[in-house]
Amino acid sequence: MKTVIDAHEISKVYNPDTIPVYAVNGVHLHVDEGEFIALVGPSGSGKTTLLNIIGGLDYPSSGHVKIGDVDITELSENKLIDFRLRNIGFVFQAFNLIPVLTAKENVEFVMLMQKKSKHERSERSETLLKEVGLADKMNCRPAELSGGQQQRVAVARALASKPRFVLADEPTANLDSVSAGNLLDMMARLNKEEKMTFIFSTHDQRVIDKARRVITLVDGKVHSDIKQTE
Amino acid sequence: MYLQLAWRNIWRNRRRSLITMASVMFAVILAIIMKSMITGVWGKMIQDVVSFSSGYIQIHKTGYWAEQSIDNAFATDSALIHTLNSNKAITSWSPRLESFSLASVGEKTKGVFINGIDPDKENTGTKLASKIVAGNYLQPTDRSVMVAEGLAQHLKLKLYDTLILLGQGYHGNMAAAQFPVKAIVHLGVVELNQSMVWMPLQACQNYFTADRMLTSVSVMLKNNNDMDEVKTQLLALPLAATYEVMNWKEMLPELDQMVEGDSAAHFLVIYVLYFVISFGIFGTLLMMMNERMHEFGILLAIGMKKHIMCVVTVVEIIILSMIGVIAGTVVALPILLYFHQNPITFTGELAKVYEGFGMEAVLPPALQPEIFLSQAYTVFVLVLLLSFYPIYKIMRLKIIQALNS
Repeated sequence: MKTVIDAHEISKVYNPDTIPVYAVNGVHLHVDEGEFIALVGPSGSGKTTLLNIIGGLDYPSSGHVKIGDVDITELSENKLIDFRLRNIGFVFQAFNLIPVLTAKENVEFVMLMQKKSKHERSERSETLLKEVGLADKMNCRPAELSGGQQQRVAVARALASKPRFVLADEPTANLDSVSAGNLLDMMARLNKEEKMTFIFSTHDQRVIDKARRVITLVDGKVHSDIKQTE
Repeated sequence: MYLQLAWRNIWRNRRRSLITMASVMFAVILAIIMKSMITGVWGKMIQDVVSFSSGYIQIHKTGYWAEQSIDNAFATDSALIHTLNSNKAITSWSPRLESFSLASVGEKTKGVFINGIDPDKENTGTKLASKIVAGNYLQPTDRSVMVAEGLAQHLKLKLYDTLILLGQGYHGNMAAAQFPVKAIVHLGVVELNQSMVWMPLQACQNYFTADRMLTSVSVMLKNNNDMDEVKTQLLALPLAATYEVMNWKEMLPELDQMVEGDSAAHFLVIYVLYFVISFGIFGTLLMMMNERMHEFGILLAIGMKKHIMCVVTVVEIIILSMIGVIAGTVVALPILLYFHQNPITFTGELAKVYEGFGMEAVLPPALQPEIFLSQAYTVFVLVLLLSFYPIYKIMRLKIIQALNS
């Protein structure tokens, strides 16, 4: 199994010179291709901070994160943006689609930044939107879509760049139970069929139940790391 | 798609964008109207004063301006006349022979300024005939004079009375003659109204014994802006070493200083206006940046480079300001065209004050394209300068802070 993420002894400390607060404290994390991981823990346990660090959105105070062969903690801000664009997909709690672009344009946008051809962008965005069940909503703007539909567009956008893995920060938190269930089923299917690696931070029991590996964080440290069967 | 994104971003908050465009539009309207009125009023003032006194350019024998004596008269050459006739920037030119004499009627005597003119050419430039209050305009072959109204009153002169003139002619010759009064002319400038006498050039040359001699050639131009170029062309003529070519700024430095001083004061007002506008636009930019900080964080997270984000944002600002600038120009143009056709005209005491300075009491706006272009350009540059703020904010953006905002 190919290693996707190898995080070694990562810590994130705020106010190091006064009263240090450890958001993440000496975490080791090894993620293989095709894993479906739920990162759980109480509020303030460091889930989002850890997700931000392995997603290259934030730098750790110490430790290293390797994505494939690249140590992203050594990359400059600009190189890190480019790295994220080509290797990491993001799904946010509040969907965060670009409100002035249609569903299709939102998905295409990531590929535009990757300088993909217009034809390729159009073809892949249509394929992805069909895959997430929004073939008939391609030309709708986010405001014209329900929360669940918007989150599906967000998943399609996250997959558009053909990333090594997708990070999802509380993706079901703003969805009703039916939409949340549908979204989870869809992501589980993508994980199974396309071997796409997903890492969720969540409080949602349905996500935890679906996950095949559950990592619990407490006070910035890994409290437990349990593999579970479906 | 980036352009599309910028365009749609403008319309996502329609009201705010419309307010921004309106503020730019009104700024441009105000700036254009103000600049046009200032330029127009000063242009008219310069035209009125200059056309009636010096002309835009004068040609004299070298040294005449320092010592304005008839002994410093000169004879024109054919190359100079050809240039004056063929230069398209020159609307008219007028030869003059000017000097002083004593004027006498009965018991009354007064020092007067004699101006020998080519009646047709002079009238083209100065519209002298329009200032006649009694009698008829001079003909080139007349042996009669026109007298300023104030002088006529002082000497108790009436039409067809005889004016006796006595003075010094060219190179010490005696100048003495009598002329019938053919017309009385009203001048707004009191000093001139009490001292001017005009006679046809040939009669004047005979009176001063200065056959074919001139003291100056006054040149009128289509546009004040052509002045330096025409001066350079005149100075390039073969006999230019014997002439001095002066523009009105050199001959009437007080007027030039007055224009410069007043223009500076008005430009200060315009710059205050720009300053106020800048704050309006800056307020919009502040709101826009604060509103979209989270979105910028998302765009960064999904891989948008900061410089592309800056370009998209600046394009948005440029489109916003361009629409405002174009709308402002389009609205200002008919307003100014109307006032150009129907200029504001002063009446009563204010009109008398204007006329006292030899100016028409009207406020015609100027319509030169550069007025529109310069104001539009200035507002555009202002907006570009203000766009450094969003660029600065984006370049300093911390992704986690933006995402949490």
